[in-house]
Amino acid sequence: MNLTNTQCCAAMEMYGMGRDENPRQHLLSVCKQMWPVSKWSSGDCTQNIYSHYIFHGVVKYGGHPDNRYSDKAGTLLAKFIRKNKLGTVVGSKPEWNRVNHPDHQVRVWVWTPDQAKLKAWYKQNRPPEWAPGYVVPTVPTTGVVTFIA
Amino acid sequence: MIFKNTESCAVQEISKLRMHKTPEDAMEAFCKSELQRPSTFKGFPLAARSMYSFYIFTAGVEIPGVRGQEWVAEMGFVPLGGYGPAFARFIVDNELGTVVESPVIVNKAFHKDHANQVWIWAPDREKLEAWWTNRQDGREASKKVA
Repeated sequence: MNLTNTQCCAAMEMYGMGRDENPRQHLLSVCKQMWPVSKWSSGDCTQNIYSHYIFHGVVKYGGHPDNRYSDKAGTLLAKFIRKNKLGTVVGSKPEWNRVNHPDHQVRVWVWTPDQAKLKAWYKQNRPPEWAPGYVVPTVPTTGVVTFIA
Repeated sequence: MIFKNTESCAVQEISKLRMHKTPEDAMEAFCKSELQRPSTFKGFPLAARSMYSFYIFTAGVEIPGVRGQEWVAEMGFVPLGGYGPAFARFIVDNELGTVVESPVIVNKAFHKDHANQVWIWAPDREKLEAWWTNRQDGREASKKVA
């Protein structure tokens, strides 16, 4: 799941949910982008995040019955956020995508994160290798290099 | 009013809503752009002269002590804090679709003296077309009288 800017400096868009495994994975992936461990950011979750995150999903496919997971990705994410009390989520009613895919029904949600709770959840649930100060374990070697012809 | 694509082909973002003096003006600009756009999807009759399913708009809604309000008023724009809720209210009052609104929250990341809100609007195309037709008819009638 990825993040992209909107025209408002208080809101971001989340997209690409089909690539991740489940709502928990979606959220972890988003949090990793909110609080990255990089040259410029320590990953200690002190940075303030955006106020609102917009996401969307196809909730009904007319022509793709095989794509069952994507049908639910948005709905599941909204449910997961509410269940874990990670902020407020408001959602639209389903609407047909009249312009581009008239056989698809789409919904849009706005998530207003509870920053303190989200930080706590992320710190508790992120994989150890995403935490600041993580040292990559080294594999002991014999020190002998063998070339195979 | 400017339209920007989002990552979904069913959703557009409306920006520069503040450039319109009133919600009516903003809605007129919306109708001019969206109701007169030809369909590129000929295979589906539903898509003919259609608009996107959702439009998102955002606004600062409570800005105590913000500078530049006099300039905004001089330029004839709707002052910050009014245009977002006013547009949402206009849609609801005129039954031009459904509007869902986010909570109001401080923009902690960039402007700690601003609070912001996001709205999702699913336009009712038929009602919007009726509103637009009435609006145009009213204008023509007033021109004839003049």
